[in-house]
Amino acid sequence: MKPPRHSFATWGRALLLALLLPATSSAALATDPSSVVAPLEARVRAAFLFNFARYTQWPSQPPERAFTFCVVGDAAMQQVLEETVAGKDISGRQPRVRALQDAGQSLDGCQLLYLPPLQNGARAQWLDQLGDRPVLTVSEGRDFTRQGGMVGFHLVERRLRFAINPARVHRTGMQMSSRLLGLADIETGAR
Amino acid sequence: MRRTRFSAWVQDLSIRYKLQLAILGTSSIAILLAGLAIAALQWRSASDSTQSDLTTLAQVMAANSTAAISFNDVIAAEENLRALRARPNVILACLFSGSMDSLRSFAEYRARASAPDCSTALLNAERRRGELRGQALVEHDQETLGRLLIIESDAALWAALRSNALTLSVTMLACLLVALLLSSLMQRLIASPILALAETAARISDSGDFSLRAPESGQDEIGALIRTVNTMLGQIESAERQLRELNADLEAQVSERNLANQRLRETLDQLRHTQDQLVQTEKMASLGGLVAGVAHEINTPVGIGVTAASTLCARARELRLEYQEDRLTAKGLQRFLDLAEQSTNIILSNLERAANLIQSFKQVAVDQSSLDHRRFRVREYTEEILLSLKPKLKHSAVNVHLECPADLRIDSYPGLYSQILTNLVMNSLIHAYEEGQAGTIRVSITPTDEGLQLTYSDDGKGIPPEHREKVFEPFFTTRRSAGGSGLGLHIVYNLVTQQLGGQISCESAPGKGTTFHIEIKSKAHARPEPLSRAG
Repeated sequence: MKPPRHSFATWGRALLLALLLPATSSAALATDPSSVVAPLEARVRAAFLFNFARYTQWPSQPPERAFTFCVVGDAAMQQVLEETVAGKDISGRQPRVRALQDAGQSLDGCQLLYLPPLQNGARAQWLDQLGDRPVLTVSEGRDFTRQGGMVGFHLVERRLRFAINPARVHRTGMQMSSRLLGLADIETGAR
Repeated sequence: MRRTRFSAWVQDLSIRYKLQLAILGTSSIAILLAGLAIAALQWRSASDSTQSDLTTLAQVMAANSTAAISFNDVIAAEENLRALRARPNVILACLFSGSMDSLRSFAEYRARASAPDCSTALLNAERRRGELRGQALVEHDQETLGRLLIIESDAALWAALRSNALTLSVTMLACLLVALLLSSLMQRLIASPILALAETAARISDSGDFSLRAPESGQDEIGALIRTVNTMLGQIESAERQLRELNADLEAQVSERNLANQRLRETLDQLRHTQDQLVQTEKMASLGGLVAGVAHEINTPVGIGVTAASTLCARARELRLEYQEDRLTAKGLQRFLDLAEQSTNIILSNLERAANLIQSFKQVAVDQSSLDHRRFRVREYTEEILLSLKPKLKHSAVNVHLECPADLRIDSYPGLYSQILTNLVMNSLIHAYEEGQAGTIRVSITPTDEGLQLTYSDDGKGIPPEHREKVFEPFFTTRRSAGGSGLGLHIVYNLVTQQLGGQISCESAPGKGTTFHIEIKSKAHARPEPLSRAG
């Protein structure tokens, strides 16, 4: 096995982060080492979220020149994401992070919606509210993609991986890069 | 100019092989050059297309690696790179993450264990021999995420070139074969008329038969050459025929000439013989003249002696008578004795003179007929010669005036000398003066270092210019009707220049007399040639 793999197995998450840093150097993660205070997993997830946005095309470009990440409930995640996307752009648009608290709050302007893992009941609510609007939904666990979510994080051998339900994504008119799909576990059995 | 061995070899090559060599050489060089150019172009284009293939491959692989880098998915990236297994020439593929300054190895594909490790140094390293490199940036959304380097061996390129080279070689060989066929055809077309011409030339030079002709060929330059040679052969043939005829003529002429020459030679011999006879006759005549002169000279003293003796005899008879008749008186006896003494004196002196004359004539005659040389007094001898000429001179009114040192002596041939002087005087008497004309002949003799100089001049009528150059020629005379032989001066000339080794020249002008300058060398200096017919 090659060194990167090897180090993953032996050094655990700390090293994962260290290796992750250069790969996601474009993300805010690495811009300020002194601010590495957030939990490692949150930082990795934030970087992934940012990359999902970059490898996905939305059907219609909203007139405003901002790209809005909407984070439900998780204030820590919101903060880490803000740090990650600061000073970056997504296809020329300025990223910004909006915090959502309760289901039923307006989702207008959201392009990506992150649902924290502990809100299973609420999660379905959010999904119902969205319907087929072109909003990339990301949450935790393999179940998410089977339950109508688009992208779901999960851990394999302590590595963060993600599953994608391309049919679900496609239905909203959004297009995901095949390269992104190449990295994902594809969910085909769900609705 | 030094010839190289190659050019010497080519020079000696038969013209057919020369032609073939030229055609084959040119075409093989052309084919070789074309083949090389094609091979180079093919190599270039194969190299370019392989390189561009590799670059495209790198770009595709790089594009496929963007997400893997973005999501830090080494496994996916390596999975991605393993697709290069389909290209057996790939040695190594390295995926680097990061931007320019912070590149680091992210994933790699090594086709063999010997492949080098991926390091960023590879990116800037020089391309090594036998490998091709493809590089591409890993970019997403105008952001550089990393770099991909693929190193491939150029074996495929070589393989392609080898197969191309095989095709090319076969093609070139075929071309050469065609060139060989064409050249052998061409050389036959070009060389065979030339060879036929050469063979004809050889046959002609062997047999000398100029009626042979080279076979005519086409209308090209060689055909023209052959026609020209044939025309030339015709000209040579007719020229040779003319030459042969001329030769025959010439031979006939030569034999005619030879015959004429033979006759001429015989005539010349006869002529020389006659000339010798004439010279001899002239000598005899001159001797006869001398004898006549001698007889005449002696006649006078002897006549006086006879007269004196007869007078004495008559007086003696008278005395006897007077004595017998006793009429002899003392006075009468005295008168007789006076007369006797007187007569005896006269007789004695005249006899003495006759004896002297005979002595000197004898000397001259002997000298004239002999070829002995001796030392003699020139003046005395000259006077004796002149004396012998007196009978001739006495009939004319010509005086001879002699100037000569009394003690001058010379060792020479007195006979020849007297002959010279006699002939000169006779020449003057016959030619220079009219009958009874008065004149003076001056003979001036002066000694020189080697002998003497004799200047003989008369004041006669001179010699016309047109005759002057011929006076020494044999048988040239203006008085043949008067009995001139034309040999006198010729003999003088011969005697002076040949027998005495001297020189003679003549100067004369009409009315101004004639002068001969004669130089005679003494025996010690002269080298007379052996006497010939002229002697």
